Amino acid sequence: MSAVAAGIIMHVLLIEPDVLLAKTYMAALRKQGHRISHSVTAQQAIAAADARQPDVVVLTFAIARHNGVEFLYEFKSYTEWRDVPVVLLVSQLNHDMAQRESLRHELGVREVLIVSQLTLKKLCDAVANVGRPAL
Amino acid sequence: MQRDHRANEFSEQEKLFVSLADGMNNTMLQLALLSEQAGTVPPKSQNVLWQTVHDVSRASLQLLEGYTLTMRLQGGTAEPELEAVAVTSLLYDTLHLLEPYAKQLQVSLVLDVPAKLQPVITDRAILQSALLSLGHVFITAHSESDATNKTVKIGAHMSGHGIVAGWYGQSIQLTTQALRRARRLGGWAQQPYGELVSGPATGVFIADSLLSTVSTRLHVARYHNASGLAVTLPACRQLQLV
Repeated sequence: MSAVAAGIIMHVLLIEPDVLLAKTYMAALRKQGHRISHSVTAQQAIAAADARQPDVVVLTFAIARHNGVEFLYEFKSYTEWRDVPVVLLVSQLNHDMAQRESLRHELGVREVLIVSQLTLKKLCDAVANVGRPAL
Repeated sequence: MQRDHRANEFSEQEKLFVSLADGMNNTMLQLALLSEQAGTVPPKSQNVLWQTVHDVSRASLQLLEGYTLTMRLQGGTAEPELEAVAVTSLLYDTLHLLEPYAKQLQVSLVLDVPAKLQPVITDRAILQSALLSLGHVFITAHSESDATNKTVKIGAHMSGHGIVAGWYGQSIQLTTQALRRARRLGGWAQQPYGELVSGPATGVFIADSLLSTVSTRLHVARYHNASGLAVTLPACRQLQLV
Protein backbone atom coordinates (compact mmCIF):
# COMPACT_ATOMS: atom_id res chain seq x y z
CA MET A 1 0.00 0.00 0.00
CA SER A 2 1.38 3.46 -0.88
CA ALA A 3 1.92 6.15 1.72
CA VAL A 4 -0.81 8.23 0.10
CA ALA A 5 -3.29 5.37 0.47
CA ALA A 6 -2.20 4.83 4.07
CA GLY A 7 -2.33 8.55 4.79
CA ILE A 8 1.28 8.78 5.96
CA ILE A 9 3.02 11.12 3.56
CA MET A 10 6.38 12.14 4.98
CA HIS A 11 9.19 14.52 4.29
CA VAL A 12 12.28 12.34 3.87
CA LEU A 13 15.75 13.85 4.15
CA LEU A 14 17.98 11.61 2.02
CA ILE A 15 21.75 11.91 2.49
CA GLU A 16 23.45 9.91 -0.24
CA PRO A 17 26.57 11.03 -2.12
CA ASP A 18 26.04 8.56 -4.97
CA VAL A 19 23.85 10.40 -7.48
CA LEU A 20 22.65 7.24 -9.24
CA LEU A 21 21.66 5.48 -6.03
CA ALA A 22 19.98 8.65 -4.79
CA LYS A 23 17.91 8.83 -7.99
CA THR A 24 16.62 5.28 -7.54
CA TYR A 25 15.81 5.85 -3.84
CA MET A 26 14.00 9.09 -4.64
CA ALA A 27 11.97 7.57 -7.46
CA ALA A 28 10.83 4.71 -5.22
CA LEU A 29 10.00 6.93 -2.25
CA ARG A 30 8.19 9.50 -4.42
CA LYS A 31 6.12 6.70 -5.88
CA GLN A 32 4.98 6.01 -2.33
CA GLY A 33 3.87 9.64 -2.12
CA HIS A 34 6.69 10.95 0.10
CA ARG A 35 8.42 14.28 -0.41
CA ILE A 36 12.19 14.08 -0.62
CA SER A 37 15.06 16.48 0.00
CA HIS A 38 18.32 15.06 -1.29
CA SER A 39 21.72 16.13 0.02
CA VAL A 40 25.11 14.86 -1.06
CA THR A 41 27.09 16.33 1.83
CA ALA A 42 26.58 16.72 5.59
CA GLN A 43 26.62 20.50 5.24
CA GLN A 44 23.88 20.43 2.60
CA ALA A 45 21.82 18.09 4.79
CA ILE A 46 21.91 20.48 7.75
CA ALA A 47 20.79 23.33 5.46
CA ALA A 48 18.01 21.16 3.98
CA ALA A 49 16.73 20.17 7.43
CA ASP A 50 16.85 23.80 8.48
CA ALA A 51 14.76 24.78 5.46
CA ARG A 52 12.21 22.06 6.08
CA GLN A 53 11.78 19.82 9.11
CA PRO A 54 12.26 16.18 8.07
CA ASP A 55 10.00 13.38 9.34
CA VAL A 56 12.61 10.71 8.55
CA VAL A 57 16.31 10.73 7.70
CA VAL A 58 17.69 8.14 5.30
CA LEU A 59 21.45 8.20 5.62
CA THR A 60 24.20 6.28 3.94
CA PHE A 61 27.16 5.47 6.17
CA ALA A 62 29.92 6.74 3.86
CA ILE A 63 29.48 10.40 3.01
CA ALA A 64 32.19 12.67 1.66
CA ARG A 65 34.68 13.93 4.27
CA HIS A 66 32.61 12.41 7.11
CA ASN A 67 31.00 9.18 8.11
CA GLY A 68 27.31 8.90 8.77
CA VAL A 69 27.71 8.52 12.52
CA GLU A 70 29.75 11.73 12.81
CA PHE A 71 26.98 13.49 10.92
CA LEU A 72 24.31 12.03 13.20
CA TYR A 73 26.07 13.27 16.33
CA GLU A 74 26.02 16.77 14.92
CA PHE A 75 22.48 16.50 13.56
CA LYS A 76 21.08 15.16 16.83
CA SER A 77 22.74 17.93 18.85
CA TYR A 78 19.96 20.25 17.60
CA THR A 79 16.89 19.87 19.80
CA GLU A 80 14.41 20.20 16.93
CA TRP A 81 15.89 17.17 15.18
CA ARG A 82 16.57 14.99 18.22
CA ASP A 83 13.45 12.86 17.71
CA VAL A 84 13.68 12.45 13.94
CA PRO A 85 14.00 8.70 13.25
CA VAL A 86 16.88 7.50 11.09
CA VAL A 87 17.20 4.71 8.56
CA LEU A 88 20.90 3.90 8.22
CA LEU A 89 22.32 2.21 5.12
CA VAL A 90 25.53 0.34 5.89
CA SER A 91 27.85 -2.22 4.36
CA GLN A 92 28.25 -5.60 6.02
CA LEU A 93 31.54 -4.30 7.44
CA ASN A 94 29.78 -1.61 9.46
CA HIS A 95 26.82 -3.70 10.46
CA ASP A 96 28.06 -4.63 13.94
CA MET A 97 28.87 -1.03 14.72
CA ALA A 98 25.48 0.08 13.43
CA GLN A 99 23.73 -2.37 15.76
CA ARG A 100 25.17 -0.73 18.88
CA GLU A 101 22.55 0.26 21.42
CA SER A 102 24.01 3.77 21.68
CA LEU A 103 23.13 4.40 18.05
CA ARG A 104 19.55 3.46 18.72
CA HIS A 105 19.19 5.38 21.97
CA GLU A 106 21.33 8.45 21.40
CA LEU A 107 21.05 8.89 17.65
CA GLY A 108 17.58 7.56 16.89
CA VAL A 109 18.69 4.90 14.41
CA ARG A 110 15.54 2.80 14.07
CA GLU A 111 16.38 0.67 11.06
CA VAL A 112 19.73 -0.54 9.77
CA LEU A 113 19.73 -1.85 6.21
CA ILE A 114 22.70 -3.71 4.75
CA VAL A 115 23.28 -2.41 1.25
CA SER A 116 24.16 -5.77 -0.28
CA GLN A 117 20.67 -6.95 0.70
CA LEU A 118 18.92 -3.69 -0.07
CA THR A 119 15.93 -3.49 -2.38
CA LEU A 120 13.79 -0.46 -3.11
CA LYS A 121 10.87 -2.25 -1.49
CA LYS A 122 12.86 -2.81 1.73
CA LEU A 123 13.82 0.87 1.79
CA CYS A 124 10.20 2.00 1.33
CA ASP A 125 9.05 -0.43 4.03
CA ALA A 126 11.72 0.82 6.45
CA VAL A 127 10.72 4.44 5.89
CA ALA A 128 7.06 3.55 6.41
CA ASN A 129 7.91 1.65 9.61
CA VAL A 130 9.97 4.33 11.28
CA GLY A 131 8.24 7.44 9.99
CA ARG A 132 5.79 9.57 11.78
CA PRO A 133 3.01 11.37 9.89
CA ALA A 134 3.66 14.93 8.74
CA LEU A 135 1.69 17.58 10.60
CA MET B 1 49.32 -20.25 13.86
CA GLN B 2 46.80 -17.45 13.80
CA ARG B 3 47.44 -14.73 11.26
CA ASP B 4 47.06 -11.13 12.36
CA HIS B 5 45.11 -9.41 9.57
CA ARG B 6 46.48 -5.92 9.93
CA ALA B 7 46.52 -3.52 7.00
CA ASN B 8 50.29 -3.43 6.85
CA GLU B 9 50.30 -7.17 6.17
CA PHE B 10 48.35 -6.74 2.94
CA SER B 11 50.51 -6.77 -0.15
CA GLU B 12 50.01 -3.92 -2.66
CA GLN B 13 48.15 -6.36 -4.93
CA GLU B 14 45.83 -7.47 -2.13
CA LYS B 15 45.08 -3.85 -1.26
CA LEU B 16 44.25 -3.09 -4.88
CA PHE B 17 41.96 -6.10 -5.08
CA VAL B 18 40.07 -5.13 -1.91
CA SER B 19 39.70 -1.59 -3.22
CA LEU B 20 38.36 -2.89 -6.54
CA ALA B 21 35.91 -5.23 -4.82
CA ASP B 22 34.69 -2.35 -2.66
CA GLY B 23 34.09 -0.21 -5.72
CA MET B 24 32.35 -3.02 -7.57
CA ASN B 25 30.01 -3.55 -4.61
CA ASN B 26 28.67 -0.09 -5.17
CA THR B 27 28.31 -0.61 -8.92
CA MET B 28 26.46 -3.89 -8.40
CA LEU B 29 24.08 -2.15 -5.99
CA GLN B 30 23.43 0.56 -8.59
CA LEU B 31 22.69 -2.06 -11.25
CA ALA B 32 20.48 -4.15 -8.96
CA LEU B 33 18.38 -1.15 -7.93
CA LEU B 34 18.14 0.26 -11.46
CA SER B 35 16.87 -3.14 -12.64
CA GLU B 36 14.36 -3.27 -9.79
CA GLN B 37 13.19 0.23 -10.65
CA ALA B 38 12.86 -0.67 -14.35
CA GLY B 39 10.45 -3.40 -13.36
CA THR B 40 8.12 -0.88 -11.74
CA VAL B 41 7.83 1.71 -14.54
CA PRO B 42 5.94 1.64 -17.85
CA PRO B 43 7.90 0.30 -20.88
CA LYS B 44 8.38 3.82 -22.32
CA SER B 45 10.24 5.01 -19.21
CA GLN B 46 12.37 1.88 -19.04
CA ASN B 47 14.66 3.03 -21.88
CA VAL B 48 16.20 5.77 -19.76
CA LEU B 49 16.93 3.31 -16.96
CA TRP B 50 18.43 0.71 -19.30
CA GLN B 51 20.66 3.41 -20.80
CA THR B 52 21.90 4.18 -17.28
CA VAL B 53 22.53 0.46 -16.69
CA HIS B 54 24.48 0.37 -19.95
CA ASP B 55 26.63 3.44 -19.18
CA VAL B 56 27.39 2.35 -15.60
CA SER B 57 28.35 -1.14 -16.79
CA ARG B 58 30.66 0.28 -19.47
CA ALA B 59 32.40 2.56 -16.97
CA SER B 60 32.95 -0.37 -14.61
CA LEU B 61 34.29 -2.50 -17.45
CA GLN B 62 36.87 0.22 -18.15
CA LEU B 63 37.94 0.09 -14.52
CA LEU B 64 38.11 -3.71 -14.54
CA GLU B 65 40.16 -3.59 -17.72
CA GLY B 66 42.62 -1.23 -16.02
CA TYR B 67 42.85 -3.59 -13.05
CA THR B 68 43.43 -6.65 -15.26
CA LEU B 69 46.07 -4.81 -17.26
CA THR B 70 47.99 -3.74 -14.19
CA MET B 71 47.85 -7.26 -12.71
CA ARG B 72 49.20 -8.71 -15.97
CA LEU B 73 51.96 -6.11 -16.10
CA GLN B 74 52.88 -6.61 -12.44
CA GLY B 75 52.79 -10.38 -12.89
CA GLY B 76 54.98 -10.28 -15.98
CA THR B 77 52.43 -11.74 -18.42
CA ALA B 78 52.36 -8.43 -20.31
CA GLU B 79 55.11 -5.94 -21.08
CA PRO B 80 54.94 -2.19 -21.60
CA GLU B 81 55.63 -1.14 -25.18
CA LEU B 82 57.14 2.31 -25.28
CA GLU B 83 56.39 4.48 -28.30
CA ALA B 84 55.74 8.09 -29.21
CA VAL B 85 52.19 8.90 -28.18
CA ALA B 86 50.23 11.99 -29.25
CA VAL B 87 48.84 13.26 -25.96
CA THR B 88 46.08 15.47 -27.34
CA SER B 89 44.42 12.66 -29.29
CA LEU B 90 44.78 10.26 -26.35
CA LEU B 91 43.15 12.74 -23.98
CA TYR B 92 40.38 13.38 -26.49
CA ASP B 93 39.68 9.63 -26.80
CA THR B 94 39.70 9.25 -23.02
CA LEU B 95 37.22 12.07 -22.59
CA HIS B 96 34.99 10.61 -25.30
CA LEU B 97 34.97 7.18 -23.60
CA LEU B 98 34.00 8.66 -20.22
CA GLU B 99 31.37 11.08 -21.51
CA PRO B 100 28.33 8.75 -21.21
CA TYR B 101 29.18 7.99 -17.56
CA ALA B 102 29.79 11.66 -16.79
CA LYS B 103 26.44 12.54 -18.37
CA GLN B 104 24.67 10.04 -16.11
CA LEU B 105 26.26 11.73 -13.11
CA GLN B 106 25.49 15.22 -14.45
CA VAL B 107 29.15 16.18 -14.66
CA SER B 108 30.60 18.08 -17.66
CA LEU B 109 33.94 17.12 -19.15
CA VAL B 110 36.29 19.60 -20.81
CA LEU B 111 39.51 19.05 -22.75
CA ASP B 112 42.16 21.65 -21.96
CA VAL B 113 45.36 21.33 -24.01
CA PRO B 114 47.62 23.91 -25.67
CA ALA B 115 47.50 24.20 -29.47
CA LYS B 116 50.89 22.49 -29.87
CA LEU B 117 52.02 19.69 -27.62
CA GLN B 118 54.92 17.34 -28.19
CA PRO B 119 54.33 13.59 -28.19
CA VAL B 120 55.45 11.65 -25.12
CA ILE B 121 57.32 8.41 -24.76
CA THR B 122 55.10 5.88 -23.03
CA ASP B 123 52.84 2.85 -23.56
CA ARG B 124 49.62 4.16 -25.08
CA ALA B 125 47.33 1.47 -23.59
CA ILE B 126 48.78 1.94 -20.10
CA LEU B 127 48.47 5.73 -20.20
CA GLN B 128 44.94 5.61 -21.56
CA SER B 129 43.84 3.01 -19.03
CA ALA B 130 45.38 5.03 -16.18
CA LEU B 131 43.64 8.22 -17.30
CA LEU B 132 40.33 6.39 -17.73
CA SER B 133 40.58 4.95 -14.20
CA LEU B 134 41.51 8.31 -12.76
CA GLY B 135 38.77 10.07 -14.71
CA HIS B 136 36.25 7.68 -13.23
CA VAL B 137 37.16 8.89 -9.73
CA PHE B 138 37.15 12.57 -10.68
CA ILE B 139 33.70 12.30 -12.26
CA THR B 140 32.32 10.54 -9.18
CA ALA B 141 34.01 13.05 -6.87
CA HIS B 142 32.48 16.01 -8.69
CA SER B 143 29.03 14.43 -8.77
CA GLU B 144 29.25 14.31 -4.96
CA SER B 145 30.35 17.89 -4.59
CA ASP B 146 27.89 20.61 -3.58
CA ALA B 147 29.45 23.01 -6.11
CA THR B 148 27.04 24.29 -8.74
CA ASN B 149 29.64 24.06 -11.51
CA LYS B 150 30.36 20.35 -11.85
CA THR B 151 33.00 20.49 -14.55
CA VAL B 152 36.03 18.23 -14.69
CA LYS B 153 38.97 18.98 -16.96
CA ILE B 154 41.30 16.55 -18.63
CA GLY B 155 44.37 18.50 -19.59
CA ALA B 156 48.03 18.48 -20.52
CA HIS B 157 50.75 21.11 -20.52
CA MET B 158 54.50 21.46 -20.78
CA SER B 159 56.63 21.70 -17.67
CA GLY B 160 60.36 21.76 -17.04
CA HIS B 161 60.30 18.00 -16.49
CA GLY B 162 58.16 16.94 -19.44
CA ILE B 163 54.48 16.84 -20.38
CA VAL B 164 52.05 16.86 -17.45
CA ALA B 165 48.75 15.10 -18.21
CA GLY B 166 45.92 14.58 -15.76
CA TRP B 167 42.47 15.38 -14.40
CA TYR B 168 41.58 18.64 -12.66
CA GLY B 169 38.62 20.22 -10.92
CA GLN B 170 37.94 23.57 -9.33
CA SER B 171 35.78 22.29 -6.51
CA ILE B 172 38.53 20.20 -4.91
CA GLN B 173 41.78 21.07 -3.19
CA LEU B 174 44.25 18.21 -3.19
CA THR B 175 47.53 18.03 -1.32
CA THR B 176 50.58 15.80 -1.60
CA GLN B 177 50.15 14.83 2.05
CA ALA B 178 46.56 13.62 1.45
CA LEU B 179 47.66 11.62 -1.60
CA ARG B 180 50.42 10.00 0.47
CA ARG B 181 47.89 9.12 3.18
CA ALA B 182 45.45 7.77 0.56
CA ARG B 183 48.17 5.47 -0.78
CA ARG B 184 48.70 4.09 2.71
CA LEU B 185 44.98 3.63 3.38
CA GLY B 186 43.85 2.38 -0.06
CA GLY B 187 42.29 -1.09 0.09
CA TRP B 188 42.09 -0.92 3.85
CA ALA B 189 40.05 2.12 4.94
CA GLN B 190 36.56 2.53 3.52
CA GLN B 191 37.26 6.16 2.64
CA PRO B 192 41.00 6.27 1.96
CA TYR B 193 40.88 9.51 -0.01
CA GLY B 194 38.14 11.49 1.71
CA GLU B 195 39.54 14.79 0.41
CA LEU B 196 38.56 13.65 -3.08
CA VAL B 197 35.72 11.13 -2.95
CA SER B 198 33.52 9.29 -0.44
CA GLY B 199 34.10 5.79 -1.84
CA PRO B 200 37.20 3.59 -2.13
CA ALA B 201 38.84 5.78 -4.87
CA THR B 202 39.83 2.59 -6.70
CA GLY B 203 40.62 4.41 -9.95
CA VAL B 204 43.39 6.41 -8.25
CA PHE B 205 45.15 3.25 -7.10
CA ILE B 206 44.68 1.45 -10.41
CA ALA B 207 46.13 4.47 -12.23
CA ASP B 208 49.04 4.64 -9.80
CA SER B 209 49.74 0.94 -10.21
CA LEU B 210 49.54 1.12 -14.03
CA LEU B 211 51.86 4.12 -14.17
CA SER B 212 54.40 2.44 -11.92
CA THR B 213 54.92 -0.13 -14.71
CA VAL B 214 56.26 2.68 -16.92
CA SER B 215 58.37 4.07 -14.04
CA THR B 216 56.21 7.01 -13.09
CA ARG B 217 53.50 7.89 -10.55
CA LEU B 218 50.58 10.19 -10.03
CA HIS B 219 51.27 13.49 -8.33
CA VAL B 220 49.21 16.44 -7.19
CA ALA B 221 49.19 19.18 -9.82
CA ARG B 222 47.64 22.57 -10.48
CA TYR B 223 46.61 23.81 -13.90
CA HIS B 224 44.60 26.90 -14.85
CA ASN B 225 43.46 27.50 -11.23
CA ALA B 226 42.28 23.92 -10.79
CA SER B 227 43.68 21.22 -8.54
CA GLY B 228 44.13 17.66 -9.72
CA LEU B 229 46.15 14.49 -10.12
CA ALA B 230 48.51 14.11 -13.03
CA VAL B 231 51.47 12.23 -14.41
CA THR B 232 54.62 13.77 -15.87
CA LEU B 233 55.93 12.01 -18.97
CA PRO B 234 59.12 12.54 -20.97
CA ALA B 235 58.58 14.46 -24.22
CA CYS B 236 59.67 12.72 -27.40
CA ARG B 237 62.68 14.79 -28.48
CA GLN B 238 63.26 13.08 -31.84
CA LEU B 239 59.81 13.94 -33.13
CA GLN B 240 60.21 17.41 -31.72
CA LEU B 241 62.99 18.05 -34.27
CA VAL B 242 60.95 16.85 -37.27
